[in-house]
Amino acid sequence: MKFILIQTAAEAGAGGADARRALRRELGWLLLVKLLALALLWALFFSAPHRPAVDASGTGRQLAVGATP
Amino acid sequence: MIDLDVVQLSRLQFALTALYHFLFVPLTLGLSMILVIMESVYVMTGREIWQRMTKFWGLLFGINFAMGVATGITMEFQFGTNWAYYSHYVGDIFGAPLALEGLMAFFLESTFVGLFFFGWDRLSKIGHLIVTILVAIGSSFSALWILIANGWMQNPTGTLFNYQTMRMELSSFTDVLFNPVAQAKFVHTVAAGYVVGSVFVLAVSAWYLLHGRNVPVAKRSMAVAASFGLACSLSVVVLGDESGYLASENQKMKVAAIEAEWHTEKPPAAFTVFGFPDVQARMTHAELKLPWLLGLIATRSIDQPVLGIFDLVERARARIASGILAHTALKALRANAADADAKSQFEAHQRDLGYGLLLLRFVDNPADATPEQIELAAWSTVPNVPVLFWCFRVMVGLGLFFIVLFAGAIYLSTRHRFEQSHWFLRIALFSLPLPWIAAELGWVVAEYGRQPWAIDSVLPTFLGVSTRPASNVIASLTGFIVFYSALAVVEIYLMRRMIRLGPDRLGYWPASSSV
Repeated sequence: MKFILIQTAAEAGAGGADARRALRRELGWLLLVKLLALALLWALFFSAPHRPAVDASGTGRQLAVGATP
Repeated sequence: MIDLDVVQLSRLQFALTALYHFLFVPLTLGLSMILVIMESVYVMTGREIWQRMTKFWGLLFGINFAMGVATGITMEFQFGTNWAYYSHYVGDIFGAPLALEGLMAFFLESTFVGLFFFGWDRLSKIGHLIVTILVAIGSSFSALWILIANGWMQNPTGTLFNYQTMRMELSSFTDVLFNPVAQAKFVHTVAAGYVVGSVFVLAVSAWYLLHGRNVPVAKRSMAVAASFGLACSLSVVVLGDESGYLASENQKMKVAAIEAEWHTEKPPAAFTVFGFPDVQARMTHAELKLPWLLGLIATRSIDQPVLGIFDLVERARARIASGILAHTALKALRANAADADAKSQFEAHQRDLGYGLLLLRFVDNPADATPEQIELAAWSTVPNVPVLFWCFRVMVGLGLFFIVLFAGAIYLSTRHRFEQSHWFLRIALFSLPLPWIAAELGWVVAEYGRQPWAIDSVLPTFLGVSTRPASNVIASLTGFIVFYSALAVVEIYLMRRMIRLGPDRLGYWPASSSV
């Protein structure tokens, strides 16, 4: 990814406004793909249904001292 | 009752990911500091070869950093997914250093790693050196916060238990921050990382000298690695000794298990150099002992005893009895928070609550525990003696070997005899995996020796695990093994490729000058 950006940045230096627009577009796409990938990971593994619900009552049960104070 | 399959699988997953992550960490720590040394010489002397050396070793540092940095994040995720009760119970304390580590690693370390690679033509010499120094400081600081968190697990200080929220709460951040165990672990671990970096540079440079390539770069690199490595390997021994001394105060059972000291000896205790610990017979066969040494190391005295496993189990039995009273009182308090008698009993015995909780592995209600179950719980406080005994000895043996290796390298360097000493170059080359083995064994001793506790004397490991089906953990464990194995293959491939290309073929050093 870095390599692509370096190349594009170099083109931007040489090519002017068009290349800078291309760089912005490329960065935008990369950020979007990255956000989508993170959202997918979150949805698949870390969203609420995947998280064990643990609170004081749950810990009380786990340690066999009762659920509520 | 707790599903022990889930406990074992979760432990295995955390152990594997932690050991895998620690393949990258020490090299990052070590190489970052070696880069600082090389670039400092470049800034001070203006000699271009030192800049090229910094760039070449920086490239290998970059591959290791890129491949390894993210492998630590999955460990932090596991606290939420696999260790939910642990996270609830101690998250208030444990979370703070982990968050700070994240800030250090991602905001400081990663930012300056970027500047290191892309700043050569954009920053002044001094400016770039400052960036390299900040990379090294960032690496060490992120290690510091992790080791503060880990040190607290070994020696929980600066915290109080709140029976209403059922969690440990921070009472003194400075106590957590300046926990002596954490400080000793930090300097010991970072120094071990420097040794890993030094052996890496020494071994790769030896390979170039054996092949007659990049000779000026390799000789200078070996000289840096030898001197830095010798200083660090001596430090590792001294700082490891400090860690051991602190463990003998806070984790007496760990020390007794490492030494396979079943019975308390008359002080000063002897150090067992060799032997075969027998867990069934609770004795060590074919012991070879050095008189006085353990007493001196563990107590820094000749009249203090080093308690043996049997005596420590006896102590654990007494603490379990007290822990049962704490558990019963806590149960009463959970039913009626205004129960003054229960509160008073809990306050008197809460120090031993963790020992009472050990019984939950054998019985649903600790107050109903039979003498046999109490006996089982007391003996469950003994970690795996043979594993600790051997891991510690191999680690120490390797540590002593590194001192000899670096001393030999310094001798040859001062005599300008590297190129003639092929036997030494081969030893240096084949030593490449050894510092990783020593570092991994060090973690095995530290963490396996902490068992059966997640938080020493506070929370047994089996109670910290999430209530998930074993199949969930098997699926994620399989995923980790496949993904991390692929990452390891890519890392080794890239490293081998760059090392084989070398500074000459990568354009960092003219090929004509390399022979």
